[in-house]
Amino acid sequence: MALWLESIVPELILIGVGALLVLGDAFARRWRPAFPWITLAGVLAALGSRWLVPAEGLVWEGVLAVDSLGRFVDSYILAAAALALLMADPFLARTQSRFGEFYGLLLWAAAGAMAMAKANHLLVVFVGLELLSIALYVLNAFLRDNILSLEAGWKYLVVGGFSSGLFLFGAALLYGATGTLYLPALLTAPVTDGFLMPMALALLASALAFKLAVFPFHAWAPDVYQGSPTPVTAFLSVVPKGAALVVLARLIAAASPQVLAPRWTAVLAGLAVGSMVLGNLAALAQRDLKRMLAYSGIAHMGYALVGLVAYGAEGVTGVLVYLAAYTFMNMAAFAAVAAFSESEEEPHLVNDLAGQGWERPVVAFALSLSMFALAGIPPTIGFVGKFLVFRAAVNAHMVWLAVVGVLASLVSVFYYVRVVYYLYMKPLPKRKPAFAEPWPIKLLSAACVVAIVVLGVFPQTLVRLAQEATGLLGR
Amino acid sequence: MIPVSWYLVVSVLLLACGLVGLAVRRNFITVLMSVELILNAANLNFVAFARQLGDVAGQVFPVFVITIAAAEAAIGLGIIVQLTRLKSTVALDAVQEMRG
Repeated sequence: MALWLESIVPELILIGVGALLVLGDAFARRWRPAFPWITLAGVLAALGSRWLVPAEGLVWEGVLAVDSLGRFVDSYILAAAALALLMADPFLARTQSRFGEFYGLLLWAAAGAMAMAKANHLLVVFVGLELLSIALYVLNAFLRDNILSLEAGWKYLVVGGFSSGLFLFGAALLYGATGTLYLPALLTAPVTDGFLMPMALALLASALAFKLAVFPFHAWAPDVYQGSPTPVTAFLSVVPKGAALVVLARLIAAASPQVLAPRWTAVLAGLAVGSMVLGNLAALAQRDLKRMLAYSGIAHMGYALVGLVAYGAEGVTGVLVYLAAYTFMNMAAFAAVAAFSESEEEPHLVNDLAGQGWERPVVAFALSLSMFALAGIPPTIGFVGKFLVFRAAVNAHMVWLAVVGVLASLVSVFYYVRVVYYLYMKPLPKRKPAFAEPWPIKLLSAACVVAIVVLGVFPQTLVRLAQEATGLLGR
Repeated sequence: MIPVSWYLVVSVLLLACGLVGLAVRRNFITVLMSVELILNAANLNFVAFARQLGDVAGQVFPVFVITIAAAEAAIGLGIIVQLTRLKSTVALDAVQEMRG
């Protein structure tokens, strides 16, 4: 076989380096300060090898599709992991939990998400999903003397276990209906039962919707976002969602035309509208920054689903660009949350940001810019993403969906701009001693600022990459 | 040969037990058991379909599921141990710090 081990080199690097770090924490403690940099080197090596190995096609008996779509999403996952890492080291130092397991688990979670992104077989989807989820359960509960962190871990575990169960049940029914576990084969397999297939697809879609945290499967998100360590929240808010969206896209590509195209569209449109409306309205009422970002994340997955409803090359391109945009915006926002909070036991209130804009310019500017980008104001990357998905909806003759999306974004401007208002217009309370944030946070903020602005002004390269990635999906 | 629909009925009943358990029980351990019930309901489906189709893939899948479920239960129990250390109870309602 031509394409064998070399096609999964990036995953092997991540898993190997992760194992090395977990062992290193047990046997080579004095290397601990080097762990974040070893991890970062591993992530960058994985990213480099993903682009160096021109593995295009099905490998391993066709269970993995190492295509340009997989490569795009892999890059997105690895970029998110690298950004979360920059945030993690200062955070772990501050909370006295600088253990090697954190880095190992982060790498394994990324490897699981990458397996999902390229899965062409339901078993691979499941194993990738669980590698991602199980690593994240531990990461959520990583601050083990903090009751909020443990509660977040427990809630994510119960919801995750439940959604895995739904996924498996759906996969089993799909297997029974078609006699195969390969995603593309679902298209051509003779359907033996007209009842099993819609049931199965509904179950699979609900399981993925849990991971996406879209309405009505979103209830866990605010609590988990609030309680988890902030770098984990940042990772959790982008990586599982990207992986789940790709699986959903592949599933639709495989199953839709033959079985239930109109119903799929109606169901997904319902999820999208519900998420956009509920996410934005609930975010208005939040006082805690992390909970606000959780509801905003629910709304943003609603926007991304609009692209998936429109489908076609244009819609999926929009989704991919949206994912990239969402990563940079969210990472900048969570980096600021991590920098501004003093204790993980306390809520991260928007009020606490009062007057910080002038005290800590770099992080505050990144936070404000990310708020404008999340609101979809040009010339940021957030605008590009929204523009592409809404245009895809209009071109697919779903103007009403785009209108709902634009109205929902208008509502969202209010709570995003409130953050900026607190940062720059409110007086600084006297009691706060100013302290400089560590340089990795500043580097992260600066990188996100550059990405948000440069990709917002010159989106052509990103859009072209996304278009290449959708080429293989067909239709 | 027992028709596959009978297995489906049993697995749906198992699924229902798991869902009811998740919804009404207020104990950490019972919640974990309910999740396991849901996973095993799906496993039963896989094996039943594998026998009906005469295909081995459906029998390999549950092996992976059982392994992963064990890992998940281990993590769950670890979190429970730490929670009970902090709260000295296994009642779910005692851990409800976040609201809103």
